[in-house]
This record gives sequence, C-alpha cells and structure tokens, in this order.
Amino acid sequence: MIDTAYSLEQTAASLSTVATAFGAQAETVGAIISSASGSIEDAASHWGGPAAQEVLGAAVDYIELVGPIVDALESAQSTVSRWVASAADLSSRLATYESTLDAIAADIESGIETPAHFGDRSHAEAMVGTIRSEWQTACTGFATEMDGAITALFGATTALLALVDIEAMTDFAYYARIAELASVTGVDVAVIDPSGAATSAVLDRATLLGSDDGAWIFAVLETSNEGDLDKADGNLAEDDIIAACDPATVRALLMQGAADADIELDPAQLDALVSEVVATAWMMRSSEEEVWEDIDDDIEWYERGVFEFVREEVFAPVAAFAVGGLCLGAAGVTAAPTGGASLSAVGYCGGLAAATYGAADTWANGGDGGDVFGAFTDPQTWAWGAASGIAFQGATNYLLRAPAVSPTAAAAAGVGDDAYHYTFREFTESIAQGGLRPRTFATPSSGLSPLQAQIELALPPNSGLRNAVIQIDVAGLRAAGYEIPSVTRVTSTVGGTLRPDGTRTRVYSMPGGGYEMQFPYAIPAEYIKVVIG
Amino acid sequence: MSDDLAAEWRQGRLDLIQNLVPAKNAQEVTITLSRTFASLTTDQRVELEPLLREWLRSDDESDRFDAIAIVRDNDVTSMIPDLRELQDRLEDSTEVGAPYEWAKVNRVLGHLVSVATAASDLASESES
Repeated sequence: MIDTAYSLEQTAASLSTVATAFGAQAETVGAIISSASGSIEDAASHWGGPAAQEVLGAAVDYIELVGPIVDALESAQSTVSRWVASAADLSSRLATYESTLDAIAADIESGIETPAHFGDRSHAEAMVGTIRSEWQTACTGFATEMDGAITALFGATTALLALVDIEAMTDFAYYARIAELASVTGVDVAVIDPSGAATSAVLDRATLLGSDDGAWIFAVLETSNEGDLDKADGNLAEDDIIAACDPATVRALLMQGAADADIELDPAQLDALVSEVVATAWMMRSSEEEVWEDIDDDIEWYERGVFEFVREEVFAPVAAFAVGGLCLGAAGVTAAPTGGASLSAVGYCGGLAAATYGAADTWANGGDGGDVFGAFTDPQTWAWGAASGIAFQGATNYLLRAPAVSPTAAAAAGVGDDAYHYTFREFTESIAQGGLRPRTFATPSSGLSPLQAQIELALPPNSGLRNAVIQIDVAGLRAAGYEIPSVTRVTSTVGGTLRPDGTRTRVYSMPGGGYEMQFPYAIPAEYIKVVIG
Repeated sequence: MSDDLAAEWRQGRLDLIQNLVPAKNAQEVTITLSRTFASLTTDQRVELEPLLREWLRSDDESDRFDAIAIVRDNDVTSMIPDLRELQDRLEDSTEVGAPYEWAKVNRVLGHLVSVATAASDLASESES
C-alpha cells in the first residue's frame, strides 16, 4: 500500500503537470486556429474566381470543424484536473490506512499491553477488513469518477478521430492561403499544389471543381530551379521564380507531372498551362512585393504550425491522457481486492503521462508507457494510438469489475428492501415450499431480463437462461434479526473452487458487472415470493 | 447402513455443492438430491435413512435443509420421530432462523402425518 500511495502521488503530480501544460496547449491551438480561420475568410472575401471561391469555401468548412476540437480539449483538461484531485484524495486515504495498519501491526507484534480482543486477532482482522472496505470505497468512487472521465476523454478522442482528415484540412487552408498571397499577381489560380506527390489528388479536385487548367502552377514554380517535380519540398525561392520564367523548363516539368499522374494533356492544354505558369512567374518576378517569400513563410507555417503541431502536440497527448487514465482507473480498482499494489499499472499510467514530456526514462515504472506513447507521436502510425486507446478501454472495462464493494457503495447501488434470485421455473415450487438453500446468490437489481441476468450476474453459460425470479423480502429479514450480507460486484470469472482432492471446479467467464449478495443462511419461505415463474 | 451408498451420497452431495453453489444455483443441490433419492429402491432408501438422520441432527443448516427437503418431497414418514426431535432442538435454539425452520418442520410433519395416516387407513381398509 505504501508503494501504491507513492505511485499514485507521483501519478497525480505528473498528471497535474500535464494538465497545466495541456491547458496552455489547448489555448495556443485555439488561437492558431482562430487566426487561420480569419486569414482564410479574409482571403475568400477579396479573391476572385468561382472555382477558387469554392475551394476556399471548403477550406473554411474544414477550419470551422476545428472549433469542436478545441471545446473537446478544454473539456478533457477539466476532466484531467478532476483525476488529479481524485488521485490526491486516494493517496491521502492510503497514507491514513497505512499508518493505521502500522499501528495495529506494532500492537500485535509487541505483545505489550495487547488488549484481550487482540488475542485471537479478530479485532485486528476486523480493522483490516474495515480499512480495506474504505480503500475499496475510495477505489470505487475513483472508478466512478474514472468512468466519467474516460467517457469524456474518449468523446474528445472520438472528435479528433472524426477529424483524422486534418491533413486535408491543412491542405485546403494551405492552398487557399497561397492563393490569397498570389492574388496580388492578378492570376486566378484555382488549385495550387506545391507537392509533386499530391499532383494527382489535386488534379482530381480540380476536375471535380471544373477547373482543370488551374492545377500545378505552384508545383512547377517551386521546382523550376531543380528541374524535377519530385524534388518539391515546400520551399519557394527567388531562383525558382526566375527559372519558371523559362517556358522550356516549365513545359518539361508539366509533362513530367502529367506522366507521373498518368494523365494525357493535349497540346493546347499544355500550351495554356505553360503560358499561365510563365506569366505567373514573370509577374511574381517583376512584383516589388516579393510574394514568393510570403508564400514560403506560409508553407512553413501551415506545414509545421498547424499539421505537425495539432498532430503531435495536441492529438497525441489527448490520446495519452485517455490511455493513462484508463490505466490509473484499472490500477485503483485492481489493487482493492488484495490490498496490495498494482505497481505496474500505476507505473504504466505514470509512464504515459511522463512520456508526454520526454521523461519516461526518469519515471521508475514508466518504460512501457513511454513505448506506447512513442507510437502516438510517430507521424506515420499515430492512428495506432487511438486503436490502442480503445483496446485499453476494453481492458479497463474488464478490470473495473472489482469483486468487492463496501456497504456504502452497495447502498449506492440500490440495495433496497428487496433482493432477487434468478432461477429456473422448475425449482420455484420447491423454493416456495421450503425456502432458499443456504449460500443462495441474489441481486439487488430488479427487472433484469433472463439475458441481462445471465450477463450481469455472470450466470453459467452452459445451463440456459434463468426463467424465474424469486423476490426476497430483505427488509423483513432485517427486521426479523437476520444479518443482511453485503453486496459485491459480480466478477467476470466464476468457479475454480478448490476441491478437497486438490482439483478445482470448472471455471467459466462471463461479462459480469452487476451486483450480488450471497445469503449464508437459508431464507425462510415466509420471506420469499415467486414473481416470475 | 451401507457404507458404500452413504459414502457415495456424501461425495455426490459435496460435488454438487462445489459445482452448483459457485454457479449461483444452490437450490439445484437440494433438488438433485431429492430427485436422486426418489429414484432409489425402497431398500436403498432405507439404507440412507441413517444418513438423513445424521443430516437432520447436524448443526450445519445446509445439512438440515437438504434432509428436510428429501424427507418432505419423498414422504419419508420413517423420519417423523427425527423431525420431532429436530423441532425440540429448534425450540431451544437462539438462532435467528430457528422459528422459521421450526415452522417449516412443522409443516412437513403435518404433511407426513397425513400421509402416514392415509396409508394406515388404507391398510386398515384392506384388512377389513
């Protein structure tokens, strides 16, 4: 428990740091996006050409989609802050339990002034039971908090996934921005593609937009000095503009692009494109405004300032938070049944959080988390991060099914005046006559369908659905003096009881997740009513 | 009592408990025992009476629960004295469930007595 508390404190501290930085990042991204949106809208307002306007409209639409991302990120930040508070609270509780346990242990071990009730250790065991119960309560509360947090974070992640075409967004913004800058030359450039690799896609777009002739201009401009479209790198220099004033160079590049894209250009179309590119180059070369420098700056800004920034500095941390939170939730709950520490899981979370800032190496248990996070930041495989996050969500859902819930949690789970035993119709007559046998399971949940009961109560899959329900008058039992058993969370794995011969009974696995109670005594027929049977 | 049959029943019951209780179907333990008892021959039933008596006298409520069900479902009228003995013990018990178990035994006794009486009447009619 000491180690668990320590790890949680570390995790809380790490998450706090991440949350603060995360908030700053969200604000920065919001500002960038807001600025970009303004630029595009401004460009749309004064730039002519119907096809270009259509492109700009699409770009604006894309930009506007970013708004919900920012909202989702801000919501996620708030959620992370709540995690931090929960983790800190849990840490504090653990510290208290730890010192209480130490005191008990010292009393027992010293044997000095040990009260009589310590003689059989029953008091100590009761104390330990109480402490564990509180620990489980704390974990359950934390798990509930985590459930909400996970939902919120995965909402944010889902929003980001929905915008997985963010690259296309930046493409549109990029072209539109360049078009705005190029407009001073008086050329109506419908679609501009600075990259030879994207030529085909741009041509497709241009075709869709009914503007075949507008493509390639800047791709050719940018690579004129190199004489090879494949050497497009997004950098536009004065030498490129000068070289693009040569019709032969431009013609060769346009033919190369057509061949790469497997497109046949008729001579007239080729001549028109050559003329347009050369005219554009001449106008840019003669302009005193050195437009190519502005375009070059914008290329860098869009490529690095939006696409890279959003992908690596925003999306990846959000995904990491989601996975980290899942791990933390799993750690908090899985530690409960044993009272021990799930160091690896806590450390895993810590590793994820710490790795966000490149500190995985210094985080005691965070190596694996760092590896996972690395996958998020890899530009080629970042989508894998989302997939792994979803996998972790599933794993956490499994792990959250802790086997013990305190009476407080049980009350919260709706333990009222009745409990319900799901059984088979053929047994109801016997039950009505003689009551329920000792060690009968029941659930405080009413109204479960046979299939729901099978799933939530982890009933064995090989014996058919229970088609009868017995209502147990818990209030009556309590009033009669019976001790009502505490409610526990249904575990997903059932069976495996050790036989006297050392073998174990059959084990089966069902989803579980509901609540159940096991009555150690026979329940008299007086407190039973067959409600469905 | 046949040791083999009794041992077989003890082990069989233990297996049922270990398999059915974790499967959240404890009631089937009792019902299976009762149905199995019903399938026995008269001689085998007689052989198991000491085991039923032992369970009725047990401090373990589960033992008594199963035995009462077997006796009730199978009209084992020979257990009437043992049920009355159990009633006496329950009257002195401080267990919370004792009154309810006493009432259950009383209902079973009423049923068994009526069965025994009917059987006796039938026998008398046959003799006359």
